[in-house]
Amino acid sequence: MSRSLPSNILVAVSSVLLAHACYSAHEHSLLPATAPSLDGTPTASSSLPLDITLETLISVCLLLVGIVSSGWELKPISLRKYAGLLESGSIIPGGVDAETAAGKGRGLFDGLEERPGFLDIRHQRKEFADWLKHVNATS
Amino acid sequence: MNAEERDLQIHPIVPENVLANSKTIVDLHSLSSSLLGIAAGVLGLESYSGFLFYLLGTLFVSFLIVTFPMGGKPNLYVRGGWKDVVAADVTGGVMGYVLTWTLFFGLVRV
Amino acid sequence: MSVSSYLARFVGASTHPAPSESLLLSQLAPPILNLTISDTPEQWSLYESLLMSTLRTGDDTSARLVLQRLSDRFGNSNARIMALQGMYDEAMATNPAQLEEVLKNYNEVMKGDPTNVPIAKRRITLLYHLNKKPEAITALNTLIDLNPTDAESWAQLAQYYLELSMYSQAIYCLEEVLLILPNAYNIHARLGEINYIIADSGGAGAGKEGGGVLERLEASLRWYLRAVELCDGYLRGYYGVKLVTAALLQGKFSAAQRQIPEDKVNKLNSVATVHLNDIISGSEKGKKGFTGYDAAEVAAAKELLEADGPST
Repeated sequence: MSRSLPSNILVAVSSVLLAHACYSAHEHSLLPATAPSLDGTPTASSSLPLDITLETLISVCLLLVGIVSSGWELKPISLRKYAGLLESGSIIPGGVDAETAAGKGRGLFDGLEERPGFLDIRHQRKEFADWLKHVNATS
Repeated sequence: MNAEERDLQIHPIVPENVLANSKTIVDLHSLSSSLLGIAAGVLGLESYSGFLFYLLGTLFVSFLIVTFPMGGKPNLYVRGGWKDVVAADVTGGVMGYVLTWTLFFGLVRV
Repeated sequence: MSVSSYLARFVGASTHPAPSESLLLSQLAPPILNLTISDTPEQWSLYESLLMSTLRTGDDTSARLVLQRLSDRFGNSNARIMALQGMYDEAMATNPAQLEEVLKNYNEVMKGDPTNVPIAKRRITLLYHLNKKPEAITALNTLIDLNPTDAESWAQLAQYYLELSMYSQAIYCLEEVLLILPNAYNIHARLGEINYIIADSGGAGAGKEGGGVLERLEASLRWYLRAVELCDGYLRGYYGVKLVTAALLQGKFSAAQRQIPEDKVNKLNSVATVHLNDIISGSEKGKKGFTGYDAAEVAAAKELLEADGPST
């Protein structure tokens, strides 16, 4: 999962906000118990002041936005689309993201055309030796 | 062969990706329902209002999922489209929600 | 770097890499061999890929060490290890006599255990390499009788038939592959290619079922279209569609014989042109999402479009 910087900041800021809201609500719940209001009528401890309520709601909303937008990767379920992305190299199988893997796109069924079980190793060795000779000759 | 099977033969899907996507969505939902639980506990919601809050929160999260990772095209990533995003793992989500809800309700109001 | 990041390098490479790529992969041998052996499946599949890379580039000392560690872990009687050992022996053989020795060795193993698939495949490859093609094909047919759901064997048999210009047999084998893996779009494209080759050679290789040039071209077009339908942005598929539609438009076929009407062919031709142009321009500019295409394939597509030129 590649996290982007803006959502990281968003998550950090809104976590602090939520913690603050949490603390405020806790403090508020202590208030009526320790200091009853002057006229003696008990204040309703269940109703939170508007600012704490707003702070909680906003911080949670921002936190959710931050988390959901922090680069969760979904893959297309249709074979047509997915295979196309693999062919064009947009997705590299094996958990490597496209930027680090500089190589070619790998199709889903490439194994059928490469057939590793029938690998002609002598032919490939010869091919490589010829290439090496060629490179050494030209350089 | 009915119409749906026929359609699947013509436009095949990748089962691994369906599984991976639904796992990601369930993860997102359970993570966010725990956070919603914190908010509900802090706000001191009780009984029905608490569950109503969960419902609204889940809808909001589903909206975010459809907007951000899916780029507004849910049908590309889950078979059922919109509905599957909302309905993914409701029971598991409720559990996590109730857990943090009661925890923070208790923590805030000692 | 960890095992998984090394493995990703090897997974990303094909088993028929370009020489320069082989060299890069093979140069990873010392650091990989210096990693502690964690006995995870990833590590052993990394070793297997490394063995092939080092054999390819002639880094025989590393190959020996890799093979040694693999056989220490899994034992010499493991079918896969036996095949790797055989591959090593094949690579090391310096004269034909030694190769014959390896082949004899394979024959011994097959006599003892006819179900040893990896060794059977090595034996077939070696037979073919030694230019004993009929024997190789017979052996491969035996293997397929034994194990008819192995798509790799069917595909290999198709390749052998194709090299001998036995087109209808090759087509049959590839159709068997499609029965096993109905979504293998590259096999669809391959079938399109073979049909096009037959049409190109004047329908001569069409065999018993006959079929003129027109039918072959239309069959080819159908295979290519299915390949493109199964895989969006498939360069080879669009190349084929373009090639075959162009051939269909140029050949003066009577409208009565055509099964695919001419205006449809025309439309398909222009669709393929649009897609090819997209891929070519994206790939040349190195745009994100176009970096995976093979440069040679892109160049070929460009050439095809230029040859077609102003008519579209």
